[in-house]
Amino acid sequence: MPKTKFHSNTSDLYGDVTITGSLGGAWQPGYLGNNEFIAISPQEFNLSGLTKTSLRQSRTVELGATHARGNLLTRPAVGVPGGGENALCVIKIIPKGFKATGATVFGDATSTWTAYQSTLSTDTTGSDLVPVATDVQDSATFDVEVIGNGQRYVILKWLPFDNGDQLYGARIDITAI
Amino acid sequence: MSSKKARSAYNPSKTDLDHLNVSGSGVITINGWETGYLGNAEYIPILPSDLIINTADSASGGQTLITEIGHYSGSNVAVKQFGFFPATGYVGQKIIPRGFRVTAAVMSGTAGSGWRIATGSINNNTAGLIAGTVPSPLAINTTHVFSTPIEGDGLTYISFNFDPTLGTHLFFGGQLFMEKI
Repeated sequence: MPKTKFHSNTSDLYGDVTITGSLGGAWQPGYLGNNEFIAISPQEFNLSGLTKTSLRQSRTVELGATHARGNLLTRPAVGVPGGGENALCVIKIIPKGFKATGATVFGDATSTWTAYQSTLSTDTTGSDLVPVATDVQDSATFDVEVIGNGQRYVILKWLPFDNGDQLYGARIDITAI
Repeated sequence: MSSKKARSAYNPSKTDLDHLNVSGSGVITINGWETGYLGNAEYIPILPSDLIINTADSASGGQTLITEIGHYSGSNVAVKQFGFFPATGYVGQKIIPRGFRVTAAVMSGTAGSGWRIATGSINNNTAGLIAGTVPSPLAINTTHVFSTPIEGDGLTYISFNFDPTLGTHLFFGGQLFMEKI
């Protein structure tokens, strides 16, 4: 690399740099080198929609549960089994400098998904993103864009119908602001 | 930028660099932060808390009785796909950063336990075993070098499976070693 006014030697830049273009190469600013979408593996759908189970947490080891829009976590309560809904949620912070515009949940053809939004510091939610149950494999554009400010996150909720339903993963589409 | 050096002809103000497109074949480093996975260009760290899927094939209660996460065949459950079957123990998954490829891995824990590793994709049901089988997992604390590195295309993830055979077997963590493409 030849010297230019941008660097004092062949490898170093000093100070803060603001780039409104892009960094070249396969790795891009965004989420794990990806400036097009946040990739989500099946493991990350780990927040259950079932809020009441038959045994106390001192009797069983269960993961956290969430309510309808997936924007909070609570311990499953003892109660009538089946309280809540048969759903699994994933939550992803939108990277700063990006906005989330849509999503797709991948799986077999018999389950559906919805999408919501919220922030780290409150249990309130913004406008629903995909409130109508959408078939897996189908993409949906969010009703409103979610601007990444470091605290805003998107919730994808997968709703399996049967015990044989399969979840492959998901993507949240993002665009640099 | 406040330093004298930062205002030199070689280091202009921020606005001088606006609209600049930068490309290169190396790793970008900023105060120790590197392109890769959370600032790490060498490996993806694996934490005990990443092993969140219990691979038990069946449970005595349906999900309306006990809310569980993972792969099993009780009532009201959802099956997730792994490259290793039948899976035993616990599974975690990590997306491979774009622009990188995973070349090797190691899982650390109590001697006697084992591990397996595979690939998957977020948009289909395919999965491919990299190493470690049932009933012959890889030895814990031993690095396995992949015969074919797994490239990060934005869709591909790595599934890793810790298999304790005794209640005293502990999992400490792991590393997915990677290199820039």
